[in-house]
Amino acid sequence: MPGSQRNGVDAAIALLLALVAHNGEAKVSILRRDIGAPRASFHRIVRALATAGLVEAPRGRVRVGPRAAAFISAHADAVRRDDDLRGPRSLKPYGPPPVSRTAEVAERGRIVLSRPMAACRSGCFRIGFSNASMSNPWRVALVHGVEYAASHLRDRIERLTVLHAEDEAVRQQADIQRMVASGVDGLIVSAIAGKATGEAIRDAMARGVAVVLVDRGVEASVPRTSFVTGDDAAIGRLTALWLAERLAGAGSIVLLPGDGAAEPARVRLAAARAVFERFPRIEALAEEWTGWRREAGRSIMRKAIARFGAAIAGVWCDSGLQGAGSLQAFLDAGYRPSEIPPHTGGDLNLAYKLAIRSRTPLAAVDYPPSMGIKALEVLLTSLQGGWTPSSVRMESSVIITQGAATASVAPDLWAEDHVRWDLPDDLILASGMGASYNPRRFRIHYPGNVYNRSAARSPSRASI
Amino acid sequence: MSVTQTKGVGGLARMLRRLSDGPASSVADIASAEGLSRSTAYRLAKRLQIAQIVARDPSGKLIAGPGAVALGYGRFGVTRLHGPAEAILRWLRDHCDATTSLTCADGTQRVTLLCFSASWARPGAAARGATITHEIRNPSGREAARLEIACGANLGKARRAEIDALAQRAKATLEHHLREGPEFPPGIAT
Repeated sequence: MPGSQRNGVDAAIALLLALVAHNGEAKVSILRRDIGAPRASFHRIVRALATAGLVEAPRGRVRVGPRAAAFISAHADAVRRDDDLRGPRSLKPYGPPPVSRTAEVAERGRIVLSRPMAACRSGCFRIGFSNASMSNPWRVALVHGVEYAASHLRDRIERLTVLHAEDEAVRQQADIQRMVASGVDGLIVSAIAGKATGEAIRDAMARGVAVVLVDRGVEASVPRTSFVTGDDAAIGRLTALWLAERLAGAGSIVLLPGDGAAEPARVRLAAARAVFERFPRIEALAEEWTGWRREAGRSIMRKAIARFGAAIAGVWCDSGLQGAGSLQAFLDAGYRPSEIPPHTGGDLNLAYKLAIRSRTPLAAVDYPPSMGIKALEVLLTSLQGGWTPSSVRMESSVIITQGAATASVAPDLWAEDHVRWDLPDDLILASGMGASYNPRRFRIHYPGNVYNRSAARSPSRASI
Repeated sequence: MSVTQTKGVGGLARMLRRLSDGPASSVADIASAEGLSRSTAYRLAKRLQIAQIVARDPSGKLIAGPGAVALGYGRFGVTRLHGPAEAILRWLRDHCDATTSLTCADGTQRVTLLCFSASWARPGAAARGATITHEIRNPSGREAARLEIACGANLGKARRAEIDALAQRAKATLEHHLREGPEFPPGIAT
C-alpha cells in the first residue's frame, strides 16, 4: 500500500503468521509479498528473529527455526498438566464419564471435528444451560450432572445459569435468547423438537456463542459445536433382540416407548421395530407413548392387562421410567413373583428393584445422564480454543437380571449388582456422579447458585 | 508500504525466546530478564496477544498462544495438525484407554508433539501391551508424523480389532486435515 507505514514489530508478527500459513517454510519473495515489507526491512527482521533461533534463513527461503519447536513442548506440558488434573488419571473423585467405543467402531470414515467458536481465551466463562423439561427423574439427574461438572470445573466458570423450558419450544427459544442477551459465552441445550429452538440456536451460533447439544438434538442443518448423547439405536436394538430371543421368537408383546416428541424415543422405537420385524411370530398387541412417566406406564398396562391378560408375553419399554409403572401394574393385578412377563428398560433404580423383587427377567441399556458432565467438558474445551468432536456418544452398559441372558445379548453387569437397595427409588443410575449420589440429598456449590441449592429444585430464572 | 523501524523486533524475538523456555512468566519478569523497559514489554505482549502468538493463563501470566504452537508445528511441516491433533488424540485415548501420541522426526531423533496418557499409565513407565503405529502421510505421500497407540496389557483379539478400526479413523482424519485443513488455525489474526 503506497504511502502507508508499518511498525517493524507488526511486520515481524506478520512474518511469523505467514510462516504458519505456509506450513513452516516459504520463499523470501513470497513472504515479502505476503507481509508487504521492503527488502532491507524484511532482511533486518529475519536477522533479528534468526538470532533468537525463531527462524532460519537458508538461501532464498525462510523457515521456522529450532527455538520455535520449543513452543511445542511448552504446550504439550501444559496439555499434560491439565489432563493429569481432569483426565482419566486424575486422583480427584471427579473423573470424566466413559464414552462409547462400540458406537464409534461401527462408524466408518473420518471423525468430524468442530473448530473452536472463538479465539483461544483464558479465564472464566459464563455458561447457560437450557433444559427442555423437568418431567421425570432422568432429567433431574441430567441437571445434577451439569451442576456437578460445573462444581468440579469451577476454576474455568464465572457463572452457570440453568433454565427449564417445561417442554415448550417457544419458551426454550425465549430462554436461549435471554441467556445470549445476558452475555453467555457458551450454551448447553437439551432441545425440544421444533423450529423455534433451532432458530434460537442458529442465532446464538451466529453471535459467536458456542452451543453444545445434549441428550436431544435439533435438525441436522442447525449449526452446533457438538452433540453429546447416548447410543439410542443400541438401546432399542439390544433390548428388542433380548426380548425376542427370550420369547424364543414367538409371542405377543406390548410396546411402551417414551415421548413421541423426543428424538431419542423415536430412534429407540425405530431400532426396536426393525429387530421385531425379523421375528415374524412376534406380534405387537399394543403400542403407546408414555412420555417416560411412571404413572402413564402403569395406567396403560393396567388397561392392557385387563384386555389381553395372560396373552402378554413380554413388555418392551425404552426406559425403566415407564417400565417401573408397567411392573407395578402387573403387581397391582395380582401377578406373583416369576409370573410377570419379561420386561426391558433401565435407568431408574425402582425398575431394577421391582424386577429383582418380583423375579421378572429384565434387560436394560441405561441412557447415562453423565452426558451432562461430558457436555460441559466439551463446551469448555471449545471455549478455550480447542477443537472438539462434533458428536460424542456416551458408554452404556447392558444390564440383565441373573440367569436371563440370551444367546446374542450378554450382560456387562448383572442387575443384582447394579441396583442400589440403599438409595431412593427415583435414583437414576449411570449418573457419573459417584456411588454416593443421591438425588434427594443432592447439594452442590458452583459459580451461579446460592445456599448449595440445585437448579433442579429452584430454577434460577429470576437471576439473569 | 514501508517499515518505519525494526528496533523493537529484537525485543520481540527475545520475549518469544523466553516464552519458549516453557514456564509461564509475567510481563514484568520477562522485561527485567531480557532488559526491556516495562512499557515496551507490555506493548509487545499486547500485540502478540492480539495475534494469538501469546496467551495468558488464568493467573494472567504469559504462555505460548495457539499461533506460537502452530509455528512450532511448522518446524515439522504439520502446522495444519495443530488443533485437530489435540482433539483426535484425546478422542482416541478416551475410546481405547490407550496412551496416544503424535511424533515427528527431527534429524535422527523423534519429537513428541502431543501425548495423552491412558488411565493405567504411570509417568515414565513402559507400555503394558502392544504399541500400534500409523504413519500420517502428507499429500505428497511422505511421512509427516507418526500416530502411536500404546495399549494396555492382555489385549484380546476383538479389542485389538476395535482399536485398529478407531486408529484407522484417527489416521484418516489427521491426513484429511493435513491435506485440506485451514491455512490458519482458527482465531489467529492474519
